[in-house]
Amino acid sequence: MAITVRIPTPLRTLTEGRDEVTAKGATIRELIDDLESNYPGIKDRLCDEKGVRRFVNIYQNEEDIRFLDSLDTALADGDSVSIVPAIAGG
Amino acid sequence: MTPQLPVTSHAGSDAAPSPSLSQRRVLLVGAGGLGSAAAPILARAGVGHIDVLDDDRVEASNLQRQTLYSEADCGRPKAPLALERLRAQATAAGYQLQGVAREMRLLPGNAAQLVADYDLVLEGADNHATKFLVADACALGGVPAVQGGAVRWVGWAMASRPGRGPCLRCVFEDMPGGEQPDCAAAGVVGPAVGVIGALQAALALKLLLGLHDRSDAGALYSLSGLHGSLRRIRVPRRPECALCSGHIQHIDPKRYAPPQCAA
Repeated sequence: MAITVRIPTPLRTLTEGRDEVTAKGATIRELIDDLESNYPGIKDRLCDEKGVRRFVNIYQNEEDIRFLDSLDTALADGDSVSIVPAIAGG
Repeated sequence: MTPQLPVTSHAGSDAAPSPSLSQRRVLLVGAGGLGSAAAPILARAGVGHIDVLDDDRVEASNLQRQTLYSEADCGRPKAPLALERLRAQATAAGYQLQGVAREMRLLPGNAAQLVADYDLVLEGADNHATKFLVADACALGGVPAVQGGAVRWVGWAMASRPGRGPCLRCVFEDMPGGEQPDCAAAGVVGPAVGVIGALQAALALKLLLGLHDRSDAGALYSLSGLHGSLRRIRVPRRPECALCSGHIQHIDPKRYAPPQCAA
């Protein structure tokens, strides 16, 4: 199951500068584990012991996973997942 | 009366100010890139009163995106310059703009007082602490807020109406920690602040004219400039949101601990 994941600028140091990567997983949780196996350290930037870090939003297509099934949100082949951290420039 | 959108393009012809906009009072928090993009649209649309709050001075590195300023402005304080430019732009469009320049920073000690008595706060600050402070002070004071942020090619904007729909803390619960790269290193491109600022102006005009709808109230606009996408993401109110649930009852300085210049 190939999922396209958009990587925000602050995390690209972990993805060899790539702004978009492909990962596998039937759920967001599995997807993040798969990302971690290829890009060590990324999981810690996205999650803490309680789940997704509070200033990070993860979207499955157009929906915030907090309003779906959070880390257990099911993914389908061809989905796109976006990681959107709080950003403050102005 | 049905709110009229100002659609005239030149002063002197039939540029009658919209009765509702001319009576509206807006506080601009931050006269940088977002403010440069958003505030002129409000001024030229006939918003009657805009106070500009910013404690910064113009630097050469600002000029690629902060279109209110020019080279000759370097070293001068932004707030009075921004107000002067906005007045001129309003005049060019056939309107009169009232306003005060406040060369100061929005802080926990003054936020509640500063945001009171406005119809809307338009926030384009460059740090998380001010963004959350605006969200909290506006919610507690019953003032609608239009907020936004941009770094490099990405950005977001949202409108919040106190007691109705989600707030900034529903979307981003709290300030990020210190592991983020800083703004100066990350930079912001002109198009990102231009798009987000214009979106903020649209959200602000709709709120001021009573034209906002439910979709605006529950929406986070997310721009990914390099991918050419601008998405409207549905953001319901979050039941455990500290602000909406009433956990935050007053402005506690500890919540806005040293501004993190984060990206």
